[in-house]
Amino acid sequence: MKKINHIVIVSLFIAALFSSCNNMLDIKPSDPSTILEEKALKTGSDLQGLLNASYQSLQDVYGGAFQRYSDLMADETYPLQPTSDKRLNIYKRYTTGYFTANEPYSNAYVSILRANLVIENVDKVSGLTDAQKKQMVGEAKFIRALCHYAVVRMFAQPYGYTANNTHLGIGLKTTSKPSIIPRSTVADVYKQILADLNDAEGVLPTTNSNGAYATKWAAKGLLADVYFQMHDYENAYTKANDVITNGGFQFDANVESRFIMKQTTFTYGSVSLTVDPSKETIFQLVSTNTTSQNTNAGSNFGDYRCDGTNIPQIRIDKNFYTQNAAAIAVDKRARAWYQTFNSGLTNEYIGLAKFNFNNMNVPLIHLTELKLIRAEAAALKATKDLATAIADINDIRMRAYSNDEIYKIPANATAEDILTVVRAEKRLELVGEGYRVYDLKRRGSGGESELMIRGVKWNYPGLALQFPINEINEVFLPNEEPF
Amino acid sequence: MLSALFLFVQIGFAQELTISGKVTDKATGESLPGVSILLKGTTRGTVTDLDGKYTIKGQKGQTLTFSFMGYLSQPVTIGSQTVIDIKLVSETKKIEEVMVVGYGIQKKREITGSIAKVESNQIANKITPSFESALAGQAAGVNVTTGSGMAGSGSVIRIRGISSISSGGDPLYVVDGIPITNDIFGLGGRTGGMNVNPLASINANDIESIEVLKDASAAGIYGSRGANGVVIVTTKHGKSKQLTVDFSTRQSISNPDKKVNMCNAQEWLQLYQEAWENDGNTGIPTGLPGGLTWAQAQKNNTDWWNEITRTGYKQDYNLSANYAGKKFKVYAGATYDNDQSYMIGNVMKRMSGKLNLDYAFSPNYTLQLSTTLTGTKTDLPGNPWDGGLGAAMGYALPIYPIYNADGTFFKGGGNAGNPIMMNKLQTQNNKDTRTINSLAFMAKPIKNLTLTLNSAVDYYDFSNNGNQNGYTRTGLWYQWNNYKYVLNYNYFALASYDFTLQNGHSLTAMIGHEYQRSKTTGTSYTLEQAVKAGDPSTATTSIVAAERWAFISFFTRINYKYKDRYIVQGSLRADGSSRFGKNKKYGYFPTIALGWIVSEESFLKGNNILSFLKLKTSYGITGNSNIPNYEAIGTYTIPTASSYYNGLPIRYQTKYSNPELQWEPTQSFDAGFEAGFFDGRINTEAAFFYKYTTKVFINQAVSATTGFGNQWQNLATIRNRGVEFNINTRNFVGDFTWNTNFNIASLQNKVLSVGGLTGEVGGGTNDTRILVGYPVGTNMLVRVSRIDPADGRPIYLDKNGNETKVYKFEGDDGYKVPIGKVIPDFTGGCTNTFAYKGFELSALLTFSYGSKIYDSSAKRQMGLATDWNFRTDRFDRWRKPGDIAKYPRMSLNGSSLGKDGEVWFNSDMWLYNGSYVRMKNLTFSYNIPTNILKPAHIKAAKVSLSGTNLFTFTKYPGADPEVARDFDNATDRNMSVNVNFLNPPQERTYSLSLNLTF
Repeated sequence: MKKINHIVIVSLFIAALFSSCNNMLDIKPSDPSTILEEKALKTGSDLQGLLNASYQSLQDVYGGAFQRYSDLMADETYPLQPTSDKRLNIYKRYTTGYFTANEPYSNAYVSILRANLVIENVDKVSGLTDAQKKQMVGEAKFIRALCHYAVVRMFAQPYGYTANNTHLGIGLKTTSKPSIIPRSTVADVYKQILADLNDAEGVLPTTNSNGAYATKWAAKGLLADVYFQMHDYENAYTKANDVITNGGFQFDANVESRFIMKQTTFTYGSVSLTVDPSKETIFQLVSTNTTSQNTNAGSNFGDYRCDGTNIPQIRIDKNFYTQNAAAIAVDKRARAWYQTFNSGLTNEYIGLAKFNFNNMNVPLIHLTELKLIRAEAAALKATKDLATAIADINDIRMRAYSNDEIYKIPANATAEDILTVVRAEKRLELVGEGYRVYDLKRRGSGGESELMIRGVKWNYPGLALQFPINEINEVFLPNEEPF
Repeated sequence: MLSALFLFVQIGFAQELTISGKVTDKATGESLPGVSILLKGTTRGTVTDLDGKYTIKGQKGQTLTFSFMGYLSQPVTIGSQTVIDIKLVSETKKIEEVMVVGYGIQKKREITGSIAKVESNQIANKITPSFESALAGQAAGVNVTTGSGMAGSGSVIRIRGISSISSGGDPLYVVDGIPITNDIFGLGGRTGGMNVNPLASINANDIESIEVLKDASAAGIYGSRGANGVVIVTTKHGKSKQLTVDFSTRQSISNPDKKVNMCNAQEWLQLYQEAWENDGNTGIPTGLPGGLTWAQAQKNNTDWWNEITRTGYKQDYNLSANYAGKKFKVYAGATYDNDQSYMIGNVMKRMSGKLNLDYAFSPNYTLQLSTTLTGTKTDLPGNPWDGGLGAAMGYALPIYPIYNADGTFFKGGGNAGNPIMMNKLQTQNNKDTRTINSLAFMAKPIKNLTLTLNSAVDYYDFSNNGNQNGYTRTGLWYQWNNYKYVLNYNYFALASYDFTLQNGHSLTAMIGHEYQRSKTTGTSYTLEQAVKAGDPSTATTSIVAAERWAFISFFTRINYKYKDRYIVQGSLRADGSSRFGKNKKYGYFPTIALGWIVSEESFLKGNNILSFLKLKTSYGITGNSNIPNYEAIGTYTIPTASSYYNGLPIRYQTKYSNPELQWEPTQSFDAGFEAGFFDGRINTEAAFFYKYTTKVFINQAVSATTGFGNQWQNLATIRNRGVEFNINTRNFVGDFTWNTNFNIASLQNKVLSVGGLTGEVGGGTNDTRILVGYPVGTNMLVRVSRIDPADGRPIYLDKNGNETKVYKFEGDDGYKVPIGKVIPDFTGGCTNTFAYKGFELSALLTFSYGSKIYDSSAKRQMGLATDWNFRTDRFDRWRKPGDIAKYPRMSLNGSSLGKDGEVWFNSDMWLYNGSYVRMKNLTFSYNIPTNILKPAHIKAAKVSLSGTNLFTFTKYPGADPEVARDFDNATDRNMSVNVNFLNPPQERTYSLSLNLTF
């Protein structure tokens, strides 16, 4: 009996010891800025913080990185040599797993992860109305589509490269679960982008802050761009037209308005011009410049900057400058956006002054872009609307040159004429903003099969950037490399 | 009573003889003081005096017993003689040798595991940057890559291979019962040319023995932390029956074991000019680095190596006392070291005090207190590529002057181009204070039961401090102080019971429980200091988030023996750790081992040739948990500074939770034998081991598409296998003795899987990789076939082995192929000891065979003409068509070597055979005869001369074939041993030492 008592006491003691052990092993990080996963998303405002973070990390995709790497593939810019292998490799259209655009690539998926977490947690947090929930899901899907769209354009051959778009696209990420995924086909990637944007269009509000958040108009505007890239000119036209006609946005009077955050005065020789921030922006990445917060959404445009002590790492191709950008003396875009250094010397070069700001907003969807899409789509779609196209082009040309009739295109211009002009104007308006290479690829895959991009064909392997080395594994295949 | 005493005295008076004599050691002839002499059957006794002489009274026919600790006691019957000289025989051989095992000691002959023991005298007599490198060449399968020539630099120790990638591959160091803090990268990683080395604060003079537990049977009792092997350090306790005081000092000088053959200004300019002309230029070369003109450059000739090196000078002083009384034992020691290496600005100073007290309340209850306090300060010369020796092998060109004409430092070559400037205008040091304390209580309350309660605290206070003069920066002075405080404590309780069984069976069972917890806190301070009034001055102090971890363990070990020859040992440990995921909170680590002492069998018993033979085998599971602390836990962050969107706060996920995260389990199989021949004249031991490690951590992103960065995952599988052999021979015995110890171990390491993650895992800044089917740390390089005699350009081999002049490293169709491995095939050591009278000569050779060294600095020292200095080897180059040369044409342009714009060509031109044989240590000592010492009341005195790294046989043309550089992180440390980047060669040291015993 006594023995049994001992056993009972010892057993109880051991049981007590084990149960206290788990507490002794329960050690959590004590860094004050760290929150445990299970405590991080309790309320609607926690989730709003996550959604804000999803917007914030877009800065590392569309805040200059996507644009500069895209433009280096095209024919308007070149990198300062010697420079990092990355820019040079992209410029040479010869990227490898080591030297490629890995920052916008991985940051696109960071935004996507945060968007997916918003979608997955929206029903788990307290204090959100159904309308708020719908809106947050809509915004998350908009961001997800925007990011997949950046990556598929940079890292895959364009829509239309194969007949059914069965060629390899990118990894599609629609859950937060960390796992290895294979590349989806380009068809599937675009299908998902459209699905997300259509969902977003259905639930998003018409206004939301200062263009810093996604709205119904932003979804429609992005859809216009996506359809345009897919050669679906009917839908591109319809969506662009919807935003331009019904969105209530106001076409800017000055070309300088696009990136500025507050009223700014520009000086051109003896001319002084005071300009208000853009009123035509539909969706933009915003910066803050207060005493306590100083952020620059467009910091990755820094490679172009040529003000103060900044030496531009990416410069403007001289031929493009003389033959296009500065071809018409009165072009206000030429005086606003370009600067020639060491003029007349052997080391003369042209810098792009478009992004010479310490704090700037980065409009990703705006009326100028949508007018250019509408005009080109109007001239390309089955039932053409040349009048609208001509009006759009003239709006842009009037602003850029002057109201002089000689800069207008005639009302009887053919579709061919319109295409030539609108494409030329798009280059001049959106230089440095990452559109050029995808317009060329779209035209190549859309039938201009012999189209060349700075010496190589539109479907040259090196025009789809190589994936970062660590992405490549048994299920995730690399892009073909040129040699 | 009184009458009995009277009677006794009467008898004494009646027949007593006075006997005198001298007691000496039979082997050495030295007189033995303190030998106790007892008249058997009486209480009468005496002890020998300092000369070993005695006088005692006794009767004819009675027996005198001479006994002395460490000697066989000798009975002598009193005859008619009155002088009895006794020669006592040392009983070392007869004492059952014991070894420290985890949580106990065991008789060597009954050990079934694989354990290497290194005694104090083999540690303290070595001049090493830090105590652990004294293990080099001492034990089979314990591969030591000694740190660089920097004072206090740490070694890389790998026991039976390497089975980790991202997690720490270092063994567990247990000092006086506590696994000590040895978190190199958590404390600061890279500091001024070397990694932080917490082991440098352990004083070799205080060490009694080091036991290295190698296989699962031995290390299994350490469960989830035993897979890399365990190094148990036992400190000295009082053991001398008389109070003994030891004093020793060693004075040493040192220089680099090899001076690297850098070019002088004339040679450098010659090569530069040739490159200039080969590239099609004519006239006086321009574009020299440092903004110098050709004429300016010609005026200078700075030998940077000479400028920043000196003859190193080291001194150490050690005083200790020990006494072992009946109840009370004490060991106390104090040490001061001042270790100035051959690099100017590199000094390690260390003060250390040690006190071990043992008190036995009664034969069955003992208390042990052990305490150590060490303070270390190491002045660091700077990073290898600027303030340190590396600059003299790289950016500091001989055409650069030290000073400008106006007396200011020349800065044209950047900070890296003037190591003297960096030495003078930048200071950096590592400081640490460490105290290791343990208190143990041992009780034998009842027969056969032993209880032990041990608690210990290891407190480690580390700081890295420095400041930089504004001249070396953009203008403001800069100061930094990074502090880390580590409080690490544990306790364990053991109960061990000997079951006495019938018929030759015996069984010992031990159960135990341990808890360990560690907390690291710290602050980081920086100051940009205004030099003159009006300059801004910015100070920032940030608190480093505390890191905490804990282990809770329960364990048992059962030893069963039958007929003294059949042995079974089983052990099981359960380890819980805060580091493991929710679903893997506890790991279980069983082991089983069998031993058979064949020589006890009748068919071998008494065999004159094979005097001892034991076969043993073991199998078990151990683990490695050397990973960061919170990797299993999913977390979000609310960034504090300047992270908002549209003026609103943000929060986002930083880590996903990984409830399955666990230790790396290693299954080990071990089989071997121990054999003794000719009554112990030859002892050998051999073992075969096979280790299979799964769930090896790789710290890498699953894929960028997850949106998460690097995170620790259990992914890879690694296999290590090898054979170890050790032989001890006593070649000559008698007056002239010659003993040899030789050990050798082979290793085959292979990564079997990386969990399907990616094709390639990189290792820090070094060009080694993890590749399935290849060893950990595989060199992936482009092969150079030959130098084209027609134009002097290198001809590479593409992936398929076809010759090409294009260099293409990266990418799927790149030309890099696995072409070498950093792990040697064989390593080992050989010690020969000769003794005659008081003279002793001991020589330790270490060797390594089959590794490759990738000389990452050579690709700049021997490649294009850049802003680096050349080695004179570069002169063996192509100059004109038809030349057959070792190195390609000189050029300034990467296009000449196969790729425009490339500067560093990662080719096998810089991959060298890393095999070597090295005279690691040679010591000649003389024990001064006691009769000379007697007037000075000195019991023993020894004078020694020794040398370290006296010579090295190797084909490696670089600085030193033993390379443990300053690593970036644990992955780098696992994969990039034997990758050289401006690593300071080891020191060649000559020293004179004196040991006195009072």
